[in-house]
Amino acid sequence: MNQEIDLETALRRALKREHPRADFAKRVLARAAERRRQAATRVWMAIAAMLVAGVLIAAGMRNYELQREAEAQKAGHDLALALRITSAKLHLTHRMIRRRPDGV
Amino acid sequence: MEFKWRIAPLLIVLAARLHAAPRPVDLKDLDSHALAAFAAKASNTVDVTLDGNVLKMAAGFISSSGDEDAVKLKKLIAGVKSITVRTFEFKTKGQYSKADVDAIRKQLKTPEWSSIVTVNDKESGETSEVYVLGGKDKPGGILIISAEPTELTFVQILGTVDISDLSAFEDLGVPDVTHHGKKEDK
Repeated sequence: MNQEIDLETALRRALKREHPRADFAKRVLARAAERRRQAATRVWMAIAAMLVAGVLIAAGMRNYELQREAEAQKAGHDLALALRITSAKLHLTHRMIRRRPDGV
Repeated sequence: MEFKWRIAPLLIVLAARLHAAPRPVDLKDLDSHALAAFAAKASNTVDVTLDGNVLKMAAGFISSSGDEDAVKLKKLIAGVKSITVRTFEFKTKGQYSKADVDAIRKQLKTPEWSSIVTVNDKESGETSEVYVLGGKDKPGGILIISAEPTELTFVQILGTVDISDLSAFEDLGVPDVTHHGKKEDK
């Protein structure tokens, strides 16, 4: 019988309603606000990372484009130079042939 | 099945022979020591090598203007596989010998090249040789060796090209860039 009373007392004590500390609500709200702030920061950081990646990709593509353009320009100049020299040498050969007394 | 195995070695030998068929010596693959000797004495050099994608890129750049001359030029080089030009300018006469030029000619002028003109002007000391690869009607390449007292030029164009069109190139409205790529006077 005594044991039953002890158990009941123990249960009553354990299940006794306790009031939270005075700053409990304040701390819960502050934690929720902090979580919201962290989530927003993560979103903004992701957006910023995407923007930086986009800018880097665009800059890389533009750089590649400029490089190809410079290479094409150099190749074009080289081609013009090569053909001009070739033509000049063919003209020289022509002139030399015409200068010959037999005029072949 | 047995027959296939019997002809396999024959096919291998045939493929090897085709692969080893004589090909024109490319000016750009020429022994660099031979040309380096000229370059060492030259006051100006022009070294142009255009082939494959670079040639396509060059043609694309020149023809991008879309004018009549550009179209002609694009047509002119449509069948060209490679263009190699080596020019050496010397400040004084006698910087190279005939034997030096003969050595280069010996390497370049393989039996596939036929001479179409060789002019030797003893008075001016100029020599000009033009060779074509394959048939004269539609040559598969042009080799020019021009030796002047103070200038030596080797030009090799591989691929189909019309010599008369090439001669007319000076008349096309492409800007004169003759001094582009020359090395500084020593």
